[in-house]
Amino acid sequence: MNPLLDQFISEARDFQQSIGEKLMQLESEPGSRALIGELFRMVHTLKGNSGLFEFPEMTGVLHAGEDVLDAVRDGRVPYGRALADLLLEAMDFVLLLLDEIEGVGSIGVEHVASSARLARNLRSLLPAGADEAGNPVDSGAAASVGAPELPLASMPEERRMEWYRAALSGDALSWVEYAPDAECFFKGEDPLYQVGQVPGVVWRDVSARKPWPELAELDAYHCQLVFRLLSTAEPAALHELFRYMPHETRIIAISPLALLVPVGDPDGGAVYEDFVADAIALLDNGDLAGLERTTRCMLEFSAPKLWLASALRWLLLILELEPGNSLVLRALIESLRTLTTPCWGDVAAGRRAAGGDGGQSTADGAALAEILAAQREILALQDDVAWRGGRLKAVAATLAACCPRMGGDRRHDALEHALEQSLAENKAAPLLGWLDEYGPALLAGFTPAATVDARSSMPEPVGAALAPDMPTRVEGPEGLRLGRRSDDVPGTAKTLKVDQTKIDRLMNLIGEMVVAKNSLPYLAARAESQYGVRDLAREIKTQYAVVNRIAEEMQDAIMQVRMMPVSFIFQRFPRLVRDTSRKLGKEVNLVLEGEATEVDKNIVEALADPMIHIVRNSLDHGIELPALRLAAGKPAEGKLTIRASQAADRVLIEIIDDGKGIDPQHIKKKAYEKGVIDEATLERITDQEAVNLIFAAGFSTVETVSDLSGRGVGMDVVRNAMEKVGGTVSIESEKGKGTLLRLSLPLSMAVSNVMIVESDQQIFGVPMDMVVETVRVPRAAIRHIKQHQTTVLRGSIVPLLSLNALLAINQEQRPNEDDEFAALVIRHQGENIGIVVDDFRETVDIILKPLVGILGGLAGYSGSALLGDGTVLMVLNPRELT
Amino acid sequence: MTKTILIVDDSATMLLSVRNNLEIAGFKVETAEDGVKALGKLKAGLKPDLVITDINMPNMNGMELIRNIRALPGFRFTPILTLTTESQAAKRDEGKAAGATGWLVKPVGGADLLKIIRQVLPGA
Amino acid sequence: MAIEFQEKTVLLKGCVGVEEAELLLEWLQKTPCGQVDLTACTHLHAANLQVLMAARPTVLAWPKEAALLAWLTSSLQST
Repeated sequence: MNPLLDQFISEARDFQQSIGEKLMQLESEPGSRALIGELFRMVHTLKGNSGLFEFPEMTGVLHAGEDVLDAVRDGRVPYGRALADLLLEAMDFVLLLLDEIEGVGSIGVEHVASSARLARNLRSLLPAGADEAGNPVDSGAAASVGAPELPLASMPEERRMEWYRAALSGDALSWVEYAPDAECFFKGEDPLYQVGQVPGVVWRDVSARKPWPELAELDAYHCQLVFRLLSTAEPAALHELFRYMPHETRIIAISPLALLVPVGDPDGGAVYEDFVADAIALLDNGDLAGLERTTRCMLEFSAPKLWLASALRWLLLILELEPGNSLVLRALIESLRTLTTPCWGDVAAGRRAAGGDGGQSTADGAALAEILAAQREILALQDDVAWRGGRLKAVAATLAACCPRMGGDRRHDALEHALEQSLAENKAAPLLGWLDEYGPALLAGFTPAATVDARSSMPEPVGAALAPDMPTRVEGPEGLRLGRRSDDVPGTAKTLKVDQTKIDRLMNLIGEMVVAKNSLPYLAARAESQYGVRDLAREIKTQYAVVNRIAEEMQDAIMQVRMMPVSFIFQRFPRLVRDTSRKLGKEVNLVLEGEATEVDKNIVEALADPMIHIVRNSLDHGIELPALRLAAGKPAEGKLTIRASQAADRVLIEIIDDGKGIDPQHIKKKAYEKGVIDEATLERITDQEAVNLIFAAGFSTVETVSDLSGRGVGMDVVRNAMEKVGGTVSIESEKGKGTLLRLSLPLSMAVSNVMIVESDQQIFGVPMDMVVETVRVPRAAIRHIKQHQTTVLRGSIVPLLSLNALLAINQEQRPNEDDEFAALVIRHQGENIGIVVDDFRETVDIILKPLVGILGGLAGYSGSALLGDGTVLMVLNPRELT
Repeated sequence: MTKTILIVDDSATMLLSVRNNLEIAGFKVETAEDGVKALGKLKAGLKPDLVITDINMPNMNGMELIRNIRALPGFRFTPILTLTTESQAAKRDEGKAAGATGWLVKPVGGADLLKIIRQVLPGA
Repeated sequence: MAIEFQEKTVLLKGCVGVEEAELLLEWLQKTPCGQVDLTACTHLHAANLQVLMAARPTVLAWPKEAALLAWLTSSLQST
């Protein structure tokens, strides 16, 4: 089963149980608002989670429960016995569904009816009429219905003609006016980014609400901008885009006729009258060719800047595009008498009254009536299903198609708003309202007989046909099968979910236990040396061995609790690889191995980011395009293996691809160019050392920045992330064959082995995994190169740093009696460094606790630990120190 | 630039689901189980490019969180989205009034989630 | 850095965020004849746009990105 579903089921069971408990508690404290609030929150969350999956039966019931609890919370519905019974029943139902999902992976169809019944019963407790209480249409919606004056006439005529042409070929045209709230920047809004997302913008303008003040007075964060634009997008798409700012936006569907505004100089002569008379006569006789000739002739005699010329150009355009649209042609010709733009609203109404030019018949009317009736029927459905939104959209689309498209029609706008409202409230009421308002008018466009037919066939028979169906099916036997408290269902909890803080407490306790146990050897030593009781010392040692064994086992057991399978991260990769390779046009076969390998929770979390980065890198730069692979004699499909395995107390993650590998020469060249290495190094380093350079800070092999891995993150980030949790990363690569990246991490972070060192009469811990070796360096063997002290160890020069100096302790390091200095050799960024201390002491296992509070900001320390004798040991982080 | 997104929700399922989707898309994701923890992370220096928060949470709910975030220095302009269910239309406006940029409607599928995030996050 | 001030010219680069608007305004207040280079700008937060609209500096170079270019020219180029 997929881990997300696992998580859901485990969490849902918890919720189901807690909800049951809270309901029981409410029996004894009926009025507790806190309990009701908590109940609501739990049901709400559970419902939200169930919506992540395809479980409409569960979501439906929970949704009803949520609504009822919401009403109880607001005091609209009193809490009572009947309600508690129903909620408990609903929770039992949810448990039943959970068992079924866990058992067979899905919910059987037989539960659909029970779900509907439970939801309906719950909803029956809601106050009557709650469904109808819709919000009034908001001001934003109202504004766009009453078409205001738009500055269309001021736009260039050629552009408007272009848009007119596009509109007639089916493109929408919408006007958007967006005046962001003055405080909108403080809500994280970026209005310019917002308008930048509008598709199909054909005209745009930005202005200020009022004249800009003097620059010295300007408040950059007081938004004064007003954006206006024309887009070929549908108003619905624009409403969706501007959904967060409905009150600041006006979206208006523009009728193509609104573009038809002749502009120009009205001066002219009285010759127009003759032209108008001739043109009307030609139009009446249906001589469109003659009309076109006359118009062209007239246009040639007119100065292009005249209002008349503009109107004639439009006339020609209409003759070309819509020769059958005599109403518009006539109006345009008539307008020459007054030299004012025709009132297109009236013209459009006239066209509709005339029955349109599409030739709709009585038969169409009957069909339309039937369609409207069917939509009404669908809207009247009282059930509450998850796909209700889709259903509402389908109804709206059907209704929109029923209105003959006379662009800019207020019916379309009203319909869009009704749909939006319906979706927002999840109720059919607004759409039904639209149907009531506009349905009759739609039908009225047809012959009276058809209208009467349609009306009488509308609501009543529909309701009657539908009613008997539902309840009978619902009250079936499956309703009874649902036992009251589901006591008969055997407990299925196989896992125990525990708060992490409890585990952490156990971790701390065992940590103290280990420390306490470690004091026993001290005690044994004292018994022998100070008091001379050898037998007692031996007995203490024996006891210590026993306690030690138990403590270790216990520690192990507690660690086990924190262990998680790496599959937790691995499960992300199939999808990541699939999406990424598809985007890159590559074919990749992903092989996951060792998913059951368990590691500490913190380690699992620390692994996620670096692994994602490495996998992206492999896909992006490792595996070649299919054609290249074939040319190189490899199968077209690349192979990416992600393997987890356990080696002693480490977990190994290997990410292997069979791509083009890394070219050491290329790396050397790059590293030299970027100044990561100098010329001498360039000559000297081996191929493997060159490949390792990709981990160097400031080195990234990305040449062309892609949107995948070229995000400014190099492999040095991966290395740092690993080092932070005590891990290492290494690489093996062969040019042309592929690359292997190996992450090695401790299985658990809890116990660290540290070496205690002494410096200036204090003790410090150094994590053992960083210590390469400890050496004693005679004073004579220390060389001074410039300001730095160095020594030669096994033929190579090792810089020496004094711990006192690193910690800003003003004190020379102390040599031993033989005048030798104690140097701790650690590996830092691929180089050995010697840290000079006063003396070495033993190594101990400690529970490292990170520094918190003010101390947390201290660099150079990885944490503190308690020692067996009760002293606090500060553990150094040499990587940060040097 | 990798964008960092902070998701605040008391449901581990929701966190896991959103986190998976966002990480696949290349975002860096931080999570917190309630408003108090989220605020703690922000005060400790986390600087997300976007905050997505649930409304109903124990300790500190989404509305209080939004108001608190806006009061923090450096978070005046950070986009914030609320996570609401389809029945919480009123909460969306309340969220906006509190300083949120917009909202997501649960359940949020991967494609929708990314689409909406890209709508409020330039350069994502 | 998305914003780079030179003696007489300010360069806006990449995705210029809201925080930069304050810096831009300050600089334009101090540099009355300041000029703007938008060549490498991929996005400009609206707060910056209104600063530019109010200050009307000479734009030396326009962005390459088509949508941004269209919005900037229609707000900053007209008269």
